[in-house]
Amino acid sequence: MPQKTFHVLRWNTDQKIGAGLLGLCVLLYFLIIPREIDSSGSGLVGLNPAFMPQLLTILLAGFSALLIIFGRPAEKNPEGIRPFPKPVWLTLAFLVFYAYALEPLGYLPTTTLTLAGFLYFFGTRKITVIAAMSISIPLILYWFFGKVMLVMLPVGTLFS
Amino acid sequence: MLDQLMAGFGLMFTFQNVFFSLIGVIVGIIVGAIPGMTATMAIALLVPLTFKMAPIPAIAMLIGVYKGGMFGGSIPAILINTPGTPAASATCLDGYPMAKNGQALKAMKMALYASVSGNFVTDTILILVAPPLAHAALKLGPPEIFSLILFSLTIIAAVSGKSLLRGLAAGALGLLFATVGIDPIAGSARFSFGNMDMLKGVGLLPMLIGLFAISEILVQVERKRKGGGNYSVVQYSNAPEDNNITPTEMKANLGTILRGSALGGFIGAIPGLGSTITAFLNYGMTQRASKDPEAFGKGALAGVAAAESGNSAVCGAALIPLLALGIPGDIVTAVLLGAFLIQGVTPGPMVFQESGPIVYALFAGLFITSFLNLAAGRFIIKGAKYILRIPANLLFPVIIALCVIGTYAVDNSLFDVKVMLFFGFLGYALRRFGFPLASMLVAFVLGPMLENGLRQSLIMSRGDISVFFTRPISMAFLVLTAVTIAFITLRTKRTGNPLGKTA
Repeated sequence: MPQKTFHVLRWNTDQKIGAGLLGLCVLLYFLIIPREIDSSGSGLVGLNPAFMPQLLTILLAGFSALLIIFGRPAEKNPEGIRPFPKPVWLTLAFLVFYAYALEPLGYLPTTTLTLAGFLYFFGTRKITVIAAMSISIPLILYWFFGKVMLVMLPVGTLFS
Repeated sequence: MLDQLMAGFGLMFTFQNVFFSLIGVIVGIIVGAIPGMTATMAIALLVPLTFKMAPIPAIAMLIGVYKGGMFGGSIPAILINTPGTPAASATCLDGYPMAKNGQALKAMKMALYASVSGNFVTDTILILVAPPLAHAALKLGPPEIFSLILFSLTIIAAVSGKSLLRGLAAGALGLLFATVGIDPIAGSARFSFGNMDMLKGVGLLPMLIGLFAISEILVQVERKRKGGGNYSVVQYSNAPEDNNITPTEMKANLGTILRGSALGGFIGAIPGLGSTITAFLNYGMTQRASKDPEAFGKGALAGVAAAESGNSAVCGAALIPLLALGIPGDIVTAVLLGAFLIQGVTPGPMVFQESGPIVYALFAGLFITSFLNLAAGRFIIKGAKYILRIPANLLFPVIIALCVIGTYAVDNSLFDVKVMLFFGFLGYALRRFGFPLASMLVAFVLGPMLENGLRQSLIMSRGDISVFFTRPISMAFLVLTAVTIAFITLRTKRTGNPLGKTA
């Protein structure tokens, strides 16, 4: 029998996730799709660019509703919804820094710095190993991608 | 035809031709093994080198790159959960768990044997039935393609694990992500949010690398924080049963490999579908047919065999429409078409009359490159075991650097790197809440073809949906889809698990 409850705080994980997805679908269908997709002037349904996104949003809403109705009871999913731990956020922050620093600083300095940071973060403590790897690995990758595969790597807008 | 084939072997079997084929295979394996690099890039880079070469060694080298690239993509898929090529993404599902269980070498050997076997079967199909198969493939129009893709989406049930609903929701999300960019039929922007970079849509490789590699790193970071100890990646085991494939295991997976080869032979002959679909389709079918479907996703050897035989079998089959009709089956064969023309070989219905000896030498080259792929692959696998011994705290930062530069190299775009990070975070969140990544990936890959098939059909029929039911091949696929859905629904209701075992 599906577990029926109207107290949101007592909902199990599946129901909470289903509710979140359903909210996303409502936002998508009524706000984002009309704003982001220009479907004016489309006669035939096959020509309407919003047709597929709308159909898929309805499909996702249907699955979300089923998750709410038939969600697994808490005893089968004891973990629940917990916040992400700090080291994960730190790793993500490091990665975001890497992605955004590539353009102003260039490939070699950014990768050297980030590699050194990650090596320390993941537990390497010998300075010689950190220095050797954070200098040699970017150079090897630069040679292979830049010179062999002819990929134009960022040189850094601050230095060019 | 046999005489011509023997003459082709005679032409192909010279030191120069075999040497260049070997170069091609080795380049293909290495390039395929680097996330972000594809066989297409390697072929495109090598084409200028072939200008001064004779046709046979030139084309044999490029075919070697194609085949080597297919196997090469499975190496990082198994070792670091990052498919080197999109076609190897199904290999991650069981290859990486096998590696974590200390069976990395076994997984790579099965990937190699399945890949080479798939190549052999479709090379044979190509030689025997290329022209009629190519003409039959062209009978598939948009309604048939839509129905075939819809049937392929039922794989989602197989890769959903314990929660079918979460798998379906992840699949719907994947289909939605596939709509970002420029609408392929009307040409208008969708979900661009005023950003020019968003107009090109979500790239498959950045998404793959983010969903699998970056999310895995984040999961490892969380696991270490919870449990302490060291980061764990793949283990190395000295036990022979963890490093070798026994004849019994090979025999047990022969049916899977043959099925993947047949699927690859059929789907590869249809222009535009590609090897990723075949890999997942064979994976799903193998899981459903298995006596122990719950083992899939946790390190099942049959899972690796299914994925690799499926994706590699497309290599020979994709040449069928290229040679017989002059229509490239995928991006790689599109680049190969250019190489053929440069060498004075014009693919199409007249190719056997105009360039018969070269075509039959190419057929011989297909078999020879498969042998070379096997030999080179065995050699490279021996070297790969040294990667297994690198501590995770040293390996992870290198994987991150490789993922970032590999993603950037796809399109020289920093935006792709940001997309990769987004999907890395999303993949981590999805894994946290029990959503299967494979479902989202399968749906994302199939989404554009599904949409094109559906909308082109509706335009053809002016909105009349009976077009899907009045064409026999389309109807057959729809019936198959309905039967599969009914079967899965009944089994889920009865056992609480889409795979049949009690949850």
